[in-house]
Amino acid sequence: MRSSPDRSGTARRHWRELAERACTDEAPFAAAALYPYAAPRERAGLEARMFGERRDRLLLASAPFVAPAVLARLAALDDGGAVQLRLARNPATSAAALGALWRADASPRLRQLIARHARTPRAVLGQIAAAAGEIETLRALCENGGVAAEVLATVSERRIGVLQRLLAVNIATAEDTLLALWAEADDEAVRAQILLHPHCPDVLLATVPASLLERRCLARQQRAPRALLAELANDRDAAVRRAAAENPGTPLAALVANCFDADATVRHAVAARRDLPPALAGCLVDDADARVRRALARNPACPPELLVRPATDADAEVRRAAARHPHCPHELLDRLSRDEVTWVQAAVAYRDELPYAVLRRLARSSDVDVLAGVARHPATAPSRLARLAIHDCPDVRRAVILNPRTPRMVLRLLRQDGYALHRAMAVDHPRFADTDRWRMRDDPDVQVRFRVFQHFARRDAMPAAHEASVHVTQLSHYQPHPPKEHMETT
Amino acid sequence: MMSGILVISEHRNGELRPVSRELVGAAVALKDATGEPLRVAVIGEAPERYVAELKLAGVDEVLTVQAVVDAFDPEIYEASVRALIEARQPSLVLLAHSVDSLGYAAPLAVKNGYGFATDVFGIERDADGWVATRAGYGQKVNIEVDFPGRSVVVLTVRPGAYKPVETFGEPSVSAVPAPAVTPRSQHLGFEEPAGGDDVNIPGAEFIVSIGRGVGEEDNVEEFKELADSVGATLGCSRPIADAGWLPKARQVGQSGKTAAACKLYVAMGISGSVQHMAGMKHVETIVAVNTDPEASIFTIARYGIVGDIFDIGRELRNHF
Repeated sequence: MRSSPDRSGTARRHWRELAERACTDEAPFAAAALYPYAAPRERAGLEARMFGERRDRLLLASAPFVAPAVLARLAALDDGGAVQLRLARNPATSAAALGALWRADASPRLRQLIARHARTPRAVLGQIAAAAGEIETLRALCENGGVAAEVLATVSERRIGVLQRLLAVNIATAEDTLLALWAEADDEAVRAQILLHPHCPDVLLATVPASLLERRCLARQQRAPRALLAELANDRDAAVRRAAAENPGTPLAALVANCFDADATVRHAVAARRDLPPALAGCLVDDADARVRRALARNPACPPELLVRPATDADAEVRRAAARHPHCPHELLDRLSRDEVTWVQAAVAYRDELPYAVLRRLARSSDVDVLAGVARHPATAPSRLARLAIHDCPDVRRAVILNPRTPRMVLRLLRQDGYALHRAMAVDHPRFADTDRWRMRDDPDVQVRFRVFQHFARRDAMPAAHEASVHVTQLSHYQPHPPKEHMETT
Repeated sequence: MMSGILVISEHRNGELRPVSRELVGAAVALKDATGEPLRVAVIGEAPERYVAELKLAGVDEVLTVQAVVDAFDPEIYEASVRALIEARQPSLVLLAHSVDSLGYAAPLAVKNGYGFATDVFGIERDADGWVATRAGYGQKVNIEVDFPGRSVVVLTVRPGAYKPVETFGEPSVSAVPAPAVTPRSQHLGFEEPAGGDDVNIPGAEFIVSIGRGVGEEDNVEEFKELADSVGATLGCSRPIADAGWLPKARQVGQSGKTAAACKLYVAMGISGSVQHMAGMKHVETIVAVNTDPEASIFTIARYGIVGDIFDIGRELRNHF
């Protein structure tokens, strides 16, 4: 962020217009898009638009896509409970803002949310661990995915029984804390979690436990000794055998018997192993259970020459699995692209490397899933994409936008798509031009406008020398999925 | 004085649509509360073929209107329903909120000055008349709509909102003369919308649905097996369908299908975007599994599990 952006003439005109529009926009998001990049003298107007109405403050407080600077300013407003709670729930809220909320007179619910927030400062979490009285706040702390091992150790030292399992689950809990928990725990669920933990002390992984729950968890522990895993692969309980068969640490020699296990889920686990030797794959290719054949057919370890059988299997999902195998031979793909089940054809259409004739044949399909695959394919011709961009089905049109190689002329066909999500995704497409984005600044959808405003604010705050390289990296880092937080409003 | 409840049934390809019995279910409850008579109408080329299925418990009269074609035609339905209202003078007319009623309900109401609300999932009668409940502001709030000054109220009812009537009764059967209508459209044939497989999300009563939490395509298989083993239909959120991991026909939400008949919805690894929830938030029992205890999906779930979807899925499978 630059406090006084140095903008070119056009950029200055753009900025002025955007700032004026943002200040009168029906929603506060346009102002929020500009705020982090605005000069101090411009911020007052934007703040008035963002924070003038309580309704807007509530909206912003729970919006995970607005910049942390907006949320931090909001946290400093001392706006009462509802806004604070939303801020504490918002994953984009910064550590500083959370610290400010903590220093205010936090309600019990607010303390819980702060204790659980992944960005809460370590010092605050330390205070909670050492002194918090409410069990719910401590529970929230133990559920925090960003907490440090020392903080969890502090909680553990308080010896609160109901927190033992949560401490054993938290990925950050250190080995010595787990050992202390093991010594105290009389609940097999807690011990099972400790055995499953990536920091589980080696000393606990030496013997096969008696309880079923612990054996199931130990069988999933990748650091368990190979001899012990081999023993668990022959356990009387099918779920334990399955877990051992799934565990990459289990020696292959121990899995031969599992290929013929009475329980199909155990055979399935063997069929899905990435280190499956061809000989074992051969044992499973004609398995009676279609799920086992499915798992084998899509397993990259399954030799391509074995795929002939899954590709002609009576079960369509097995044929589809063969079509998704990363090394499925072209002649099989050609056959599968003519499959009587369109969902199998779609599996072929979603592969990047396809003979052109196959792609052309699939493009003649009327099935939505097949056409969506064609629309996302990197080799689909622009003329074909243009036809798909005006397809009746929104799923097909969306697939055109999800294709990083869709040219600008095709994207322009989608600029006025009836579905706001599509327009928002088009704004983010690396091949969309700024002139096209600029024409969308008065889009009727609030989220589309937010993205347009954010794009220009970011671009104009960026040193010109870096722009070209940024464009290149945009293409290589284009995420075909829109951000999780995307809001559709129509 | 208008009195009575008139249900307009729907049929397609010669079969009565299940929503017709749901409309009767809604109407029977209102009849019990108000005492108003309940009539069910069927419009078609040979309407008598549907009569036996419509002789449901609580129905007082089944009305038939013979049309020149059996397939739905908006002009025939609009004219026929108007004729039925004039013939029986009901105060409330219930239609399914379906693609059919979208074609004629609004012009029927506007041209005749009837009260009108769509996608209704709650109906009551207070001292001033009928009150309908529907969602507003992108399903975020429930809105009660009343109809002051309207002697007839037409409501389209959300499929899945009422329990269908499954028992039969002994209503009388009458034919209402068909109005003279020359359809301007011609029915050529019925084609099922394109879909990747035979899944029926709107008709499924138990759905296990997966979202971004599954991580990668290979993991979808695990939940396919889970759905198979617990007897559920597998659904998904939009990113899963967009990635081609499951067919578009399995997508639940605003841009996909509505879980209209669902009674139990297990959302695994779905954070709960407004768009996804639009397709399932009406479900009576929602179970959400997510590692993020603050995920939006928990705000509408009856049961919430904060945990790893793979662990929970594995445990569930161990029980079946």
